[in-house]
Amino acid sequence: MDGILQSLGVIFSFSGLAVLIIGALLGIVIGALPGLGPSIGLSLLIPFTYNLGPELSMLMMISLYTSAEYGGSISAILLSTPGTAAAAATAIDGYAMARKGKANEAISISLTASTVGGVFGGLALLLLAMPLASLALKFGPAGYFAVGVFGLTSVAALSGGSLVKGLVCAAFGLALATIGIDPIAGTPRFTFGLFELYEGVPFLAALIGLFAVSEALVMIENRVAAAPVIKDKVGHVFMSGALWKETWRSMLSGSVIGTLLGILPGVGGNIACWVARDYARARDPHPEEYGHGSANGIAAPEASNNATVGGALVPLLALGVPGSPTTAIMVGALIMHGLHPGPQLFTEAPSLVYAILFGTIIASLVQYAAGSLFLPLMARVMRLPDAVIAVGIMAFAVLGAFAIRNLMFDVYLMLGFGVVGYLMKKLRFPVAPIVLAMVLGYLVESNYRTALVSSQGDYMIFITDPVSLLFLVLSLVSLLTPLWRALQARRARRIDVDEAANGTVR
Amino acid sequence: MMNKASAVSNSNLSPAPGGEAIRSHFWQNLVAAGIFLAWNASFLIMSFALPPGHSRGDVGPGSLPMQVSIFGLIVSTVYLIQVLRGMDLGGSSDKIDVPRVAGLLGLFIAVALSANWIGLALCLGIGTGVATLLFPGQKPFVRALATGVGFWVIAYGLFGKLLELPLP
Repeated sequence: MDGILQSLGVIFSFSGLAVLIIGALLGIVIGALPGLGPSIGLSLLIPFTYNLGPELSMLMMISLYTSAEYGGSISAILLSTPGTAAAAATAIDGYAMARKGKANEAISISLTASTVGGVFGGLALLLLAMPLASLALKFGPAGYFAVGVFGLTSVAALSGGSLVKGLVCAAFGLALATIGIDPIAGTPRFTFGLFELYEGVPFLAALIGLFAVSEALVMIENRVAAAPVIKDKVGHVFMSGALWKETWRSMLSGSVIGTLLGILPGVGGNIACWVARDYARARDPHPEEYGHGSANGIAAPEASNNATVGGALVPLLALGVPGSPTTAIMVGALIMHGLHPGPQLFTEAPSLVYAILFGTIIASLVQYAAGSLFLPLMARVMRLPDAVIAVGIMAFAVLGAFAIRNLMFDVYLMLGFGVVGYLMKKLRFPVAPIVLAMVLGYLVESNYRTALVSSQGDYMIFITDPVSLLFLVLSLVSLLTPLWRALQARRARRIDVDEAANGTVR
Repeated sequence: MMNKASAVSNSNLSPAPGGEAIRSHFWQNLVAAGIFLAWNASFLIMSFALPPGHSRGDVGPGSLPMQVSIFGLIVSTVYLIQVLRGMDLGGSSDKIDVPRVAGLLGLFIAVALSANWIGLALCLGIGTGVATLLFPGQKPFVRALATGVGFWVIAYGLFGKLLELPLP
């Protein structure tokens, strides 16, 4: 009870509300700028939140994360260019509606649906995180090792087009995670005598380089012709009663879909938005309106991508396993504050946990207020020239990398990771598996070795421990499912080719 | 994404006939596979040099790096085989705009290197201002000056003074 009161005290203090509002404004701007997203925003923000303390720091990050999911829809509606991948489905009906001169209406649906989805996801987090965490507290090291392995299998979902490229990146990330003093024996590994590497590769420097610097380098090359900008004046964002009546079902179904998919490792708003749109379309009496400016075509994906925020925080808080690059970054922030995410956080830092639980709901409401009040200003931010955005990213990246440990070494490392990230993006390598593997590497190794020490070297502990067995089986299923699907698709293609060839011969 | 290369006799080890883009993807992926194989091989060799564990049952500090590098070698080999079989695993179809990318990166490396001499805030101001000149646009010098001054103010005022970041 003390934890709840303390957390509410932090949230409703002047600083609490200030960080929520600042986070919301930054999130909307970052989400609205095409190419940037919550991952880049958080990676640039984290180093500067160090002085805030864990509660305020997490509140700011959650607020940014939530609002960036909504912000992506602004450019999707006005420019037909989704600011984030999770707003891709919104662009179809949002831009179509805006072209009809209803940009304001489209944004009002997006903001309301995002808020509904965010609150729903937050409530789900509040209800699910605690029971799951108390269950997870009973896990032994073998169980935790298997949970970590399960988290790693989300690489399959984050790999994009090529599973093998995702796995190569995961191996690279795991290798990076082993650099530094090892967690059991205290032996320095692969440090080459550099004391800066004794604590391991600074995760945040790597993150800023891989996500932010690489994006700035890509940005300097881009000369893509954009769709015509909708120059409607964007003013109020309040939804009419008729629109509420028309869209509430889609908002609700989108919220449920987003929350459930957000909990699954590797599945985020970018998948949830399409699933929610398809579901809403299938149940809509007027499916023909989709693609031509349907209100439900905006409400469903927007509710779902914001609901994934609460969903994604469930495994992070309950098990300590991030299921997405954005939540992996939040792990980095907790580690920066000397905390390790997981069920033990509920007893070690209850006020922080409750701040996250309640903060997720409040952040959605703050996003609504900030989004309503500052929308005309936000619409103007999108007109910032690429030059200013790209050099801004670089400048904040340098400052952020330096702020982590006040070492220029981290700046050089960050720039190095920027080059690696840029080349990987050019070669279509997914960078998210690297980040996930870097975060989970410690969890996997420390528990793997602790489990073996406790069993005196008997590997059967991973089979005899029921939790470990369950998660290892789930990991196998999670990894083999995409492979099986790929094989099925290949077989189907081969049959098609054979049939076509036979038809030609005949 | 399987192309027809593997179906054509004697073409298993050559890029698929599918235009300039796919051919350039072949070489890009071939080089990438080679780099990852070399990285994992060197990581494995370095892992062997790590001492064994001292506690009973402890597999030692070299165990996970060894397993990771073996896993990395396996997936890199699979990647290499897929590339050699002519599968188009994607890549960049455009050439890298070397002057701009290297220019932006070089500028910020220069910023980092000279930070200890003239201060990070001033370096960032100069660096960001000059960097905007790499982008096309109207009134480049006005934009450069405004950006440079703006970022100097942010770095010095907001981060140096307000957030008390001990900037060099």
